[in-house]
Amino acid sequence: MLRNYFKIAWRNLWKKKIYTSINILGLGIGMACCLLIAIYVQDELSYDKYHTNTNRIYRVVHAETYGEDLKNTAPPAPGEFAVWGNAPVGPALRADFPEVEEVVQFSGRADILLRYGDKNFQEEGIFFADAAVFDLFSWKFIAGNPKTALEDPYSIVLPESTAKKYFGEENPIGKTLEGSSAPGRANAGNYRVTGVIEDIPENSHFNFPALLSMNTFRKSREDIFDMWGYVDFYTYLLVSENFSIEAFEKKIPDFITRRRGISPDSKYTIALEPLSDVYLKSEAGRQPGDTGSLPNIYIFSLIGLFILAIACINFMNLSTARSLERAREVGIRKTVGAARKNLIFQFLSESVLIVTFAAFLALFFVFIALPFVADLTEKNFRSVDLFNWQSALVYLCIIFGLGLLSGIYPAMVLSGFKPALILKGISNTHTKGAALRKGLVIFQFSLSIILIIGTCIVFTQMGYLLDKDLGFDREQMLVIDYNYDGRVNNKIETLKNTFNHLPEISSVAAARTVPGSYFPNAGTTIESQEGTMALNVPAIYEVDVDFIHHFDLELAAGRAYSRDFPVDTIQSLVINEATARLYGYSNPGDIIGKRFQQWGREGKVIGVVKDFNYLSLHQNIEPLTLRLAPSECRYLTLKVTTSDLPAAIARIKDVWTHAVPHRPFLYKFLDEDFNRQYQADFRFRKLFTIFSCLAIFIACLGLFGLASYTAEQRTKEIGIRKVLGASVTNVVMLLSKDFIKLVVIAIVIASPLAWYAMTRWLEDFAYRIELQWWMFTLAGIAAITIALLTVSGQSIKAATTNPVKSLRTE
Amino acid sequence: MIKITDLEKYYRTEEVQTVALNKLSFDVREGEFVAIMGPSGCGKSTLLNILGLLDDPDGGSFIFNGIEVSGFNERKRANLRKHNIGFVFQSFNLIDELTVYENVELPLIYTGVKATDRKNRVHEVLEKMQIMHRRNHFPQQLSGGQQQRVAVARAVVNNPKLILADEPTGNLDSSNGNEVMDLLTELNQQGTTIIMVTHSEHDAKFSHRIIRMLDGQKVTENVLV
Repeated sequence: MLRNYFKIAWRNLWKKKIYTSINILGLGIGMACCLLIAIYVQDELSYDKYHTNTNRIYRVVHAETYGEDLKNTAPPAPGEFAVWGNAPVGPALRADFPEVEEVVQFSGRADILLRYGDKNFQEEGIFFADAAVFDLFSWKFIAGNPKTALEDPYSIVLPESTAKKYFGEENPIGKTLEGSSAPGRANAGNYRVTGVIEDIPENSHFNFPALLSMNTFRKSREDIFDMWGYVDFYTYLLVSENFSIEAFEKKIPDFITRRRGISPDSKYTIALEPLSDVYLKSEAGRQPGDTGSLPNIYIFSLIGLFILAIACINFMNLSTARSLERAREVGIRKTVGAARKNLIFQFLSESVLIVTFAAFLALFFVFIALPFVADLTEKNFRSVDLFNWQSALVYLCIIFGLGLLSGIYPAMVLSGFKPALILKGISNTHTKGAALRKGLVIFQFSLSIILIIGTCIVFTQMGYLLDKDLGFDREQMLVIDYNYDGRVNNKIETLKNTFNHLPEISSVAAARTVPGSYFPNAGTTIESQEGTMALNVPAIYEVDVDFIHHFDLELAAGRAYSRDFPVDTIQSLVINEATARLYGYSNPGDIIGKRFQQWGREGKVIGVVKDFNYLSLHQNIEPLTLRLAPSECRYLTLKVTTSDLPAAIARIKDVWTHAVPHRPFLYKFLDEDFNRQYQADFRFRKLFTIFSCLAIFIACLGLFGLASYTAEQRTKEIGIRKVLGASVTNVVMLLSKDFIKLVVIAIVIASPLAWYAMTRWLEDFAYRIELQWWMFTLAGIAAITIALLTVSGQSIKAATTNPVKSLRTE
Repeated sequence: MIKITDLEKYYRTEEVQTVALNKLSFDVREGEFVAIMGPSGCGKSTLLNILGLLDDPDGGSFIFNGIEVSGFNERKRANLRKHNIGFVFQSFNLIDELTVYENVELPLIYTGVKATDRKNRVHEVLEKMQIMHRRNHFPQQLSGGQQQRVAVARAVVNNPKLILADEPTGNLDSSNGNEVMDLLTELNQQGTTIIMVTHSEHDAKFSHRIIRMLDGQKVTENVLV
């Protein structure tokens, strides 16, 4: 019997090639999108799950409040925590809680110049780590002893790719790498390679080109390890099997009071995050690596389901639209003895057959598209991972699931036909099915229009991010990273002078931080309006005297640093408006002349710059202090005025290598670097656009199919109308009108839903566009145009057919 | 074999109720060949559909092989139908996507006959209908007469007790029509009960008895043999 079903299914599919291709292509693309999204989502969900102890590893997050915030007794919100914190908390937790079996701490990210022979690279994002690190994290050792590799000062463990970069095929163990200083953490020195590990899997919440022993750090700055107020550590815990986080959190307040004591100026607390949650769910600031976005996972999963739903609806619609064609067969089968269940089974096997073809097509599409998607998402997807028995099982489930899902409705409709009526040529099922089909088309187009509106808004918002005036000059700013090199800082004024003399350069400034790159926070007390000293911890940029003018920062009050005031280097502070507000000054002018203390420096606030967006536009402008500290700088920024950038860069490089031959010339452009913060957003935009287009394409395929069938079914009507004098335009209008009506209804349904969804999406940006009516209108017009283009071909074909011919066919 | 008493069937649209069968009563004995005649719209096809268990009467009694079947649900009717009744239609009603062989095989599949038995039985019937050589062709590749022979083959492949024929020669020329009538007569002679709806006096003469209908009622009944 099954053979008979498949045989007739195959012949049917072959006979109706357009219908079959629409179904298979639509379902194929739909399934391919879904599979690709599933691969992406599955990868995002797999972060940090590869460690043997994943479920027993927690991360400490810290929250410290100061000043006005102290009055707020509510516990800190998740976003107010930071992963980066002090050192003593780790050993204290280990000592006080038996359920904490091991503690591993990492330093903050350090950028260090490593040299081996003539190979010389600035490695970014190196961590100093405790020797027990490999007890917690299952990074596989290729060479060396994991127990002792990071025991001694100046020992270094390299991932395989870093080891290859320096040592090629040589055995790196025991060899030394010359390392530059890591300011605040370690002096320059020779690091002995004590271990080589496999490269850190990409699905790790942080990654590194090397690990240095924490004892290197400890040797240089022993004092820091007892300072609860010094922030430079990431702390991870290995807890016992029966650990309860709820019970543990109850003990935290006592622990803090006992260990750190109570301070009148600040309130400190910690919380724990399970390792398996840190990549997607952590809202804490100062992460050691990139984090993912749970909302994006939801969005993409939803889009995947949308696309699949649209493809399945095509299948249902086309099958039921064709019901009249199949009705006769149903009638015959019933008269020769088929029971309804036989017919249901037959139609279901037919849909399973179609889905099977579609699944193979989908696999082919995925195979082709995977490298592009991998490139787009910057992930390491490999096609070979698609083909294993687990996936085969999943595909089988999908095929049967989808086959049943999309086949059940047509199967019920078709198998329910009454043979007595059908064989007489009467069918009352047509109008009922038509209403449902219309409903499904509206549903499909509502989903598509939501995606069109979404795309339109995502594009507008991203354009806004790129074009918004950030309040500082970021155009043609070339940034040279010399990584705090003391030898460069010593002659920075001379260097600046040399560059200033180049015709391509209009100004030069040095700073520890440029917008978009890492900056620390500094405990800063400033005299309040009442005359008391108030402590807060604003962000700090250490800059040189030219920074403010160079970046074209506007002054709201007071003055910028100046060479005319030598005291500026030891007694002055410039802040932004947000800092003035933080300390209670709504008028920035009022804070000028007030006393301040910061990192051992005392003096007066001399200037307030207008707020500028030094953070990504996802965030509000936070309080910032600009401290004059030319000897602490890391970056040299040059404003390039020529349009011939390659020549200018060559020239600058020339000067640089001549002046500081020991420092590689590492440069970037400020705008590009700043926009790198939006990398995830751009990726989102690309994926969103691609998937939206595909969704719309599949919906149009279905509409095309329906339009052809409608035109076919109405051949006689069209013929009669034409005989009675209808023009081609009349007929095209007649046929298109019905579909356009559906699209208009879909627009009405989709607009408020899209408005709601996109308002939620925009909430993630502190600076965002207002939703405008034109975005919805534009999307509506686009949807109608697309629908019209899709159906008009069929309508015109039907309308231009000779009526004699169409009447004869009846 | 068949006993219908006061059989009623109405067709309703929103405003009009049409009476298709109006308290119709008659019997058909086993082995009989009955022709039903009457003008278009007199209820012949409706009657045939009810007799074939494709449709439900709205009133009256229908006893098939001693069992009252008028209240049967679709599943029961389908079950009874597939074992007992074969159909022959004016428009042949073959499935275009199946070959001659597969069309004839279909009823056997639904009654759950084993593959080897099916093969033998289909071959036997195709031989008998003299269309064996066409077994791998599709219906569109056959002449009308051949198609109707396939339809008859399909109707008899299950050895049904009753064959219902709805104007079996309506779409055929006279020589093909006569061939089909000869086939039906032969089947009847072998014991199969046949009820045939027809407009053709010529075809009706092949039967034992002619029931003439008008407006859903029996008007006359002529016994020919």
